[in-house]
Amino acid sequence: MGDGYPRMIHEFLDAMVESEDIRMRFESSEDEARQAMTDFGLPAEKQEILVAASKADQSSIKALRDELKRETDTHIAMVIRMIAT
Amino acid sequence: MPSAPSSPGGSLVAVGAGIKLGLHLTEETRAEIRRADDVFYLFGEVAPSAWIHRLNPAARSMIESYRVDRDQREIYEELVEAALAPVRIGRRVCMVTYGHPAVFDDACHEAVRRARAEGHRARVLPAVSAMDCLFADLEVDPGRSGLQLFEATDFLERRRAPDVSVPLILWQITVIGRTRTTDRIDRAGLEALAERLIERYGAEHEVVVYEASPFPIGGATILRVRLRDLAGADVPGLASLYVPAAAAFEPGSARVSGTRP
Repeated sequence: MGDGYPRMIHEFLDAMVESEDIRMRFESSEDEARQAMTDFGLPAEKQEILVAASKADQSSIKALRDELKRETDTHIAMVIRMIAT
Repeated sequence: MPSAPSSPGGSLVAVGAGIKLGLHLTEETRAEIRRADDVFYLFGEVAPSAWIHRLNPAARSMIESYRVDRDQREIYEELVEAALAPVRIGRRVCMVTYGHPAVFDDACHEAVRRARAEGHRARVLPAVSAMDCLFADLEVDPGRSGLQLFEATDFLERRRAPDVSVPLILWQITVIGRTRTTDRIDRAGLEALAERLIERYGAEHEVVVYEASPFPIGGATILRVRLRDLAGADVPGLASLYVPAAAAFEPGSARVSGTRP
């Protein structure tokens, strides 16, 4: 049984797509981004993953991907749009 | 899933979700997803994805096909047949992949080709590709000095000879020579690519490892490295490589009259 946080992060990303207000809060400042996530119910340690990923640092994006996949059942490969060379 | 097909003749439309999932959709694509009887989608990330289910509750992810160490062709066949089965019984199907459906997507091309061969209506709609994101993020204008594009395995295996005075983009640099799905980058392939590029551009030439952001947060991953350091660089899984021109184009006397302001 997982802790449910990957699902919450997934839902927060979904909410960002749906809500321009959340996107604007996230982009306005780090404090406002944290407040938006707190309002959403994300715990502080999980907020760090998103704050770090928002800085587009390679390792933090990987951390976000790993977190999102943490509670999936199957081992998913990189979905690369390969062509048959 | 709606029970009745929308028309007696089935149809297929291949659309792209763009790179920033949920935020790069065109209105035309949104409408196609909404009105389809069946929607099959394949994104590079597991989230965000709620938007597509809101557009069409029948939307079904094909991510489970992408388990590690499967033959890529087997997956394409699975995707193509999943999309065509409802078309064959008269349903309107929308196949959604990330990026642009006609760019680096054998499954999309094959599904459309097969649907038409079987007498069904099929078409492809334009979308935002990784290349469009690269143009914006790296502020590259292909109108200025032209552009060369190659898939990285093709570039190596066919010993393509790039014009070093024209910028070059290489796609799929992390899976060179691979025909099976993987969850890690192929260092040997990257090394072979770096060696080949060094022959043409020199070891000190600076290139850009680029990966557009699929998330609604943050920007692209942009890593500037010299070619001698490329093989060991911290390259993201879905990265492309932008190779700036090594030499400025020397204008000769062959300017075409009347074509420039």
